[in-house]
Amino acid sequence: MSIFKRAFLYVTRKRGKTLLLFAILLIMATFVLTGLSIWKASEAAQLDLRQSLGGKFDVFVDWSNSPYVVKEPVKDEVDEETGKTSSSFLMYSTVQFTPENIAAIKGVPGVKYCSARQDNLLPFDGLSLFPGTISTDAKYQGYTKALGVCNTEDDELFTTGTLTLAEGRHITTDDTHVAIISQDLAERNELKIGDYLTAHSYSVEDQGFTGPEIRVQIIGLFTPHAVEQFGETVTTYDKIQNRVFVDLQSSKEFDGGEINYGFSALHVTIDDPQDMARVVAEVKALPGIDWKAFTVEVDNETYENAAAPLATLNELVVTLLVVIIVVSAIILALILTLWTKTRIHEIGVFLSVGIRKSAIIGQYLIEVLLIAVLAFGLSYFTSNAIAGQIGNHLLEQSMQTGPEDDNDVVSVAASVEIGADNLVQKPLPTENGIQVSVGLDNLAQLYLIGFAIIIVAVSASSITVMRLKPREILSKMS
Amino acid sequence: MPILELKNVSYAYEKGKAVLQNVSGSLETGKMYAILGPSGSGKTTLLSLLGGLDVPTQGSVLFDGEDIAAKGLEHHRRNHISLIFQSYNLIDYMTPVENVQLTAKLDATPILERLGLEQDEITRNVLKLSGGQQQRVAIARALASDAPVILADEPTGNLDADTAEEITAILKESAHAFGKCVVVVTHSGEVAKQADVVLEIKRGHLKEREM
Ligand SMILES: Nc1ncnc2c1ncn2[C@@H]1O[C@H](COP(=O)(O)OP(=O)(O)O)[C@@H](O)[C@H]1O
Ligand SMILES: [Mg+2]
Repeated sequence: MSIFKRAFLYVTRKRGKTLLLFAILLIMATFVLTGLSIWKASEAAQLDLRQSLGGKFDVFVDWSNSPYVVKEPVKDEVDEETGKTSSSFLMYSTVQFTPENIAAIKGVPGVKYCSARQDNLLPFDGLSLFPGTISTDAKYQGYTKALGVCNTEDDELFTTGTLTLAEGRHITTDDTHVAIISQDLAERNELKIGDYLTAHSYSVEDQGFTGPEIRVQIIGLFTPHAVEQFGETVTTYDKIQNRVFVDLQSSKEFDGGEINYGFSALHVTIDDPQDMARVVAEVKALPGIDWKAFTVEVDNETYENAAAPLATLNELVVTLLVVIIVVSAIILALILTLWTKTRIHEIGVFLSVGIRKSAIIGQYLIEVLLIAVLAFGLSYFTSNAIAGQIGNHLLEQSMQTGPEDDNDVVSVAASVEIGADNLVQKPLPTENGIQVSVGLDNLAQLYLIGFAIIIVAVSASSITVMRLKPREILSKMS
Repeated sequence: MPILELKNVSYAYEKGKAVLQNVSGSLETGKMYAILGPSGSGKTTLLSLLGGLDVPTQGSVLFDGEDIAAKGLEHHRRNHISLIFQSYNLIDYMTPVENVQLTAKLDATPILERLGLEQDEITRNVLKLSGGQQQRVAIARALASDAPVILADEPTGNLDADTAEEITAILKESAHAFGKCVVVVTHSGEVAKQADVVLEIKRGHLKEREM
């Protein structure tokens, strides 16, 4: 008779024991599987949180330490009213980021966006602007902000959803003399895609935009996700509807001088804030960027605060899982040891007919595994039923006992500033709790862990069998 | 040609207290042997040595002229001998047929029927069989295993006189009709009467009793 047949006969004929063992294994498996699924869910929630928060760092000219910073006095200005002269300086870095640098940084794995802007405050000929809520210097009336970028699609205002391109196309690195304006501004001025805006380049002599004419063609129209709220103070040139995006070439021409050939600051968004250190290190290792000129500022605090309670939960779940596994193995080993002791006569008969001890222990193992296969299968349903509730409960607990007191961490995280204009807020995934569900991957893990527990428990319980000497068979059996 | 031989076998559980002293003898197939002796005289010990459950302190046990330790005691137990105990011979979660099939090299059912078990009895829960029926199953297992030697330790100890007689008859038949070498340890004179050869253990020595 084969070892499998013997095991099968035992399991099917000793129904009481089989049912009891089935129940024990079902409970253990439910615990393990629930733990595994919560673990997976908490890992997923952490990943989700990281990806939704993203990570950001800024790279900019190190104004205080860079050897490339130049400070030049500009023509003294005489205040018309007071008659006082005030001297001002022009400070700039001779080393700036180029579009090539931006492309290289974008190529670093883990970098989502890399954007940079030049900005100019200038008047466009005949362009009627939306008035702001606070008045500005008479000099700046009719001025608006023109942002010179390599690529509007990567600009923070677009990547964060603060602005959406409603019509036309984005500005790309290859474009020259193009612009994107707001749909509102276009309507106000009866402009459409293909029309031109005219401005003049800055003249240092005249201290004004009186230089050669520059024409930019409108290639796209954007709509803002939200305009500033009622009562919020904003200048005319800061009003989002008055914003003009242009290509880098046009921006340089507006500027007039030779000084600003690139960007003095970059804004980098990464996929996973956990990767921050690596990405920053890789960016710093890129060729073609002179790091004497620049410095990096990382802001990962938002992520770290938001991730703390989830990390606590994760630790808790892992600890719990280890405890469950160890306790299960001990309980199972004790029960099996007890049962093996009641099987002395059976062992005696087997040994007397020449069945090896290893084959006897093997039979016990197969018996438990046969029951376990079914119990583990059923635990898929039982643990699915309870996993969701336990998961949410644990999350609540860990939120309350997390390292951040008072302030609700989630709300802190949610108020993260996204985009320079601070118009958009993204909801965090944890606000809806953790979604726990038992997957087939968890079931596979359970079978691995469960079988390991069973092998340990059966080995421990088989000491009784190993100790029995054949010569004791006759004396013990009679 | 003897199938089992004892060559100057001595055995002591503790040093200086020999249970068996320099025992020699030979056993043949086709014969039933009875080993007689008072309680504690070493009958079970002798059977353990013959069955390869233990090794002699001195001397050797031969099967077919070869020391049973040569191929390993397990090999000897599995292939050469069948053990029958006073009780608990059967696996309680197996039917009589399955108990016989546990080691069977031969077809179980005809042997069980030949030993007087009814068709419905051979698939019944073994615990619902009488002591005599259980011993029949144990003997059937011994016969079906095709091992040439049957070693029985007080197989009728738990049975009433009539049943004991039947079992003894079956053991005798196993020797005579099936050609086994049957060794029955007993302290029953009735069993001994049926044996072809009666051996007695006295103070560690084995002697053949003249009939
Ligand atoms: N495991 C053992 N350890 C020590 N002494 C034993 C052991 N088994 C039996 N004995 C002793 O060996 C002697 C022979 O025992 P045994 O062979 O069982 O006798 P019998 O079967 O004739 O009653 C007895 O004195 C008994 O006390
Ligand atoms: Mg005895």
